[in-house]
Amino acid sequence: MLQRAIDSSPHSPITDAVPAGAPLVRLTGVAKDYNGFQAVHPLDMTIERGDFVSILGPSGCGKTTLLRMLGGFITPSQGRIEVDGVDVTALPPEKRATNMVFQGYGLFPHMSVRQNIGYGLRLARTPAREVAERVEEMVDLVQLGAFAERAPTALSGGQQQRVALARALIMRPKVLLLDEPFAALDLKLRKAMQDEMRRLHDAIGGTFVFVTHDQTEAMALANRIAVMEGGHLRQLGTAEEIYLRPANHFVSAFVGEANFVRATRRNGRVALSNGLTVVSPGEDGEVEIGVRPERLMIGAPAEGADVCLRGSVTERLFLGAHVQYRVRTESGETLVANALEGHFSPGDSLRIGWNLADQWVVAS
Amino acid sequence: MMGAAVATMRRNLLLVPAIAVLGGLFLVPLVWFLVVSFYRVSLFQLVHEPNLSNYARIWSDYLGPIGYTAGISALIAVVTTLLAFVVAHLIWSRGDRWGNFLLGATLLTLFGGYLVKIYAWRTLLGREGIVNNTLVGLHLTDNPIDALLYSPLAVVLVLVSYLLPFAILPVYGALRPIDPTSLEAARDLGASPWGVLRDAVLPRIVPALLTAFALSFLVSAGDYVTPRMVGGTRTQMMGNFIESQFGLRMNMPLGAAMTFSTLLTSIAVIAAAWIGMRTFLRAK
Repeated sequence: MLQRAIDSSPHSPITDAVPAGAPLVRLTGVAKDYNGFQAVHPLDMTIERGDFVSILGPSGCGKTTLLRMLGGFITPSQGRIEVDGVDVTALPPEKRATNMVFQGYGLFPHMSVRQNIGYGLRLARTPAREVAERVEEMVDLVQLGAFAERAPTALSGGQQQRVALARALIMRPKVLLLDEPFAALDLKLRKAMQDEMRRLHDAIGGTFVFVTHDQTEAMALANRIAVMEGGHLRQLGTAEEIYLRPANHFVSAFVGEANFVRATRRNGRVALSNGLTVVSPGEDGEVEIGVRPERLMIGAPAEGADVCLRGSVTERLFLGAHVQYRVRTESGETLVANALEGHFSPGDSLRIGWNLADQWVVAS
Repeated sequence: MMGAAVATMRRNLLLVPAIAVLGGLFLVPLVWFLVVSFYRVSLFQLVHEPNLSNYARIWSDYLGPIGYTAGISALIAVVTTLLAFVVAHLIWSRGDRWGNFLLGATLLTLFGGYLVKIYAWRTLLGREGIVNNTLVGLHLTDNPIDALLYSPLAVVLVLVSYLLPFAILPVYGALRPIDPTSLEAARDLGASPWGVLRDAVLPRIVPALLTAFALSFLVSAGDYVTPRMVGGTRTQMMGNFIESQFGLRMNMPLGAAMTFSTLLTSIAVIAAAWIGMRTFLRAK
């Protein structure tokens, strides 16, 4: 029912003209320059129908600028933004089939929850009866029935968040944009809202683009993650791809923790310090081999690993779910390993190793 | 329990000076004038015989001036409030140096006294004033335009320029706490820039707009200096009539009745403005 409602969006008179396989959103060479400061470097990106994309990066990486360019609040200095085959680059926000959930929500304090949610439909001159029906539908969807007549200022942060979500979703946007919507909530509430977002996306479908600096949140919600740094799009892929096969040093270190081992690549093969070589196509030169701490094996299991090094424990931290060891290898590198058992102490000599399937190679 | 009662009493005690000043210097004289407005004067003496003759005389002779005063004051108040909104919105929406400069300039104009401003306008609008000299110099007119000064237009110009900073401040104060994100949200949901103003800004500053309107209206309706200095003989506002009853004519009862008639008219106009703003400045 809701799915059909979303597909028959009032914004989409041209939907049929677009080939079925075409991406919903296509960014071509989109960049933003603020008087010489390059907030976003030219980047290409496509978003498919039904995607839940997260734009992930540290603060100042250009992720919000990118989202605001999608929403029409910032005009790109160059490049082209297409939504559903229509060039929207020069369109103001009110003419775009996208809707945004703002950081800080931006609710109208002089309107009740119901009036807030129905505002966009009233602007679009939707018949009053239909507005009332769809507002009720949304109020139910975000479970705000008991608060619908209240002013938004009388609601808690999480409830305000849901009003903002309902107010955007009722417009049946082709793309729902979310700008760090949970940043102001405490950890527990944030987790609950993440579950709710997942439930919403499953229930009503649609295409969501979500900006966050929290990688756990990105992984929990998104089916595709775009990692940004310094205005560059560093990698776009699934959570598994980003985590297990990071494309470069930044993504390796930003998403989760990573150990790096220096190595050299010659003729498409990378030589490890212990003499082992692995196939790794790419330019010759200095490279880094990355391994996640939880993929490192220590002690007896390491002896059977593809790569096995000798080292000594320099630090042991009991962290509850696991024990974190800092191990200094004979070649002088410090590796961090997370293990479930904790019977080593600082000063102990041990073997540390990993399997080739768990490592990746990036240019250093 | 006792402590709370004592604290409440102490707090109330703090209000006494304010109430004394307000009551002694404002309410008591006002009530006294209300009583006097039903008396009459004979041989420069108050005659304590309550009657409605003063109000009957206002009804027959002064409805015109009261209407004229209310009309020109409403015009001044509307123009002042509109300009105040434009300037305040400019200051607010430009959070930058330019906005601060405008705000500073607004506050700076408060340093110029009331009479200084009147004389400044006389210098501008007079027969030998800057405007006329320029017009004649450019051969746009052959003779200076006398209607610039000593006209209702001059009264409107002087009072609007005098009242503008007082009207800007409350409007700016009301705009400041508005969260800019809510304006972006309105745009996002389909509002044009004008729609944002109509739905997300104006409904939230109605009290401030009413303050600006009421302030401008009341000062204008009570003014008797500006009409005399720049209004010419045709611009006779109630302030002038009231002043002459209290002054030259020594007819305090009629003056008091005029005062209350003007006051009631003012309350009616402001109430109408309030209802109008509440009706038209409402979110969609």
